Amino acid sequence: MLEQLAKWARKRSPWVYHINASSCNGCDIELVASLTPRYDIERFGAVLVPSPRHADVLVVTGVVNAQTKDRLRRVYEQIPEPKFVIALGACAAAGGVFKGCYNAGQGVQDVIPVNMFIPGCPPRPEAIMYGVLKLLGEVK
Amino acid sequence: MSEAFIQRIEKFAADAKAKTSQPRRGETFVEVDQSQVREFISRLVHEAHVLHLSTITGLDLDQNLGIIYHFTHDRDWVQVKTLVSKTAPTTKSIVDIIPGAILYEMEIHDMLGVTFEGNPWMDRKLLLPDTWPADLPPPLLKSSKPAEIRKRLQLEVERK
Repeated sequence: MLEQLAKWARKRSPWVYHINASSCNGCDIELVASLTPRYDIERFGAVLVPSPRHADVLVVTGVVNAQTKDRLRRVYEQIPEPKFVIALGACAAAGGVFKGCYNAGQGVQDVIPVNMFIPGCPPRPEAIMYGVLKLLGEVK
Repeated sequence: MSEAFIQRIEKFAADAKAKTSQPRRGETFVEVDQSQVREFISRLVHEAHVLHLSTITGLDLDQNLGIIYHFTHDRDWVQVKTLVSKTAPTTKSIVDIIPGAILYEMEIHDMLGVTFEGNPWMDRKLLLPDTWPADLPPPLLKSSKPAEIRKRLQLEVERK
């Protein structure tokens, strides 16, 4: 019963923590745009929280490099279970334009497990909302 | 660009035994020997009042490394190019003439391995990660291999 309630609450109010793992800021701006009144992702209960310890969903933007790799893993480990990871943008999904550079990895999934990829450079706010809602639909 | 200004720069260049050319309208390109470059830039700043250093770029020219100081003055450009040997990549810093050059010099130190004598932050990193192994070659040299650097930084992961 209590478990059911927790699941319902999680589904109706996912708290999002956003980390920029050396992104160019394009995806970050689109993520913020999806919070604006025009798109208003908060009507689905999604709130950006300032600490990973309060979060249910981790949104990662940017290609992971040597400087951000360990920090990303540390932030991921601070999020309480159950946790979901969204890789936002082409860089987070597969390296994007930085693929093959000396200091760039090949996406977030090499460092932490990812539940949802949202492609695009940058993805439109509609795409971000579609991705988040699809992820919530998968939450069982 | 006024004629008087160009003539003035050409006179500095002649004093430093440097070649000048005008690749485009409003752009003066000066090739100065490495030993003269500090003196030349000092005169450019203090006598001709070319005060804005836009950036410093570094190049890998196979035998040598090239360093180009890009100055802007009103709407005109003055580019000062100098060559540094690849075997002993050391040149004098211009931080005491133009304090803002400190970050540009650090960037070239990170990326091409040129040491600027007199720059107080040569022991720090600007762009490279903290975990950068000291024995790796600078990443923007043409001889460096990105795949090997990624392997050393543990960024290459086997995909199934």
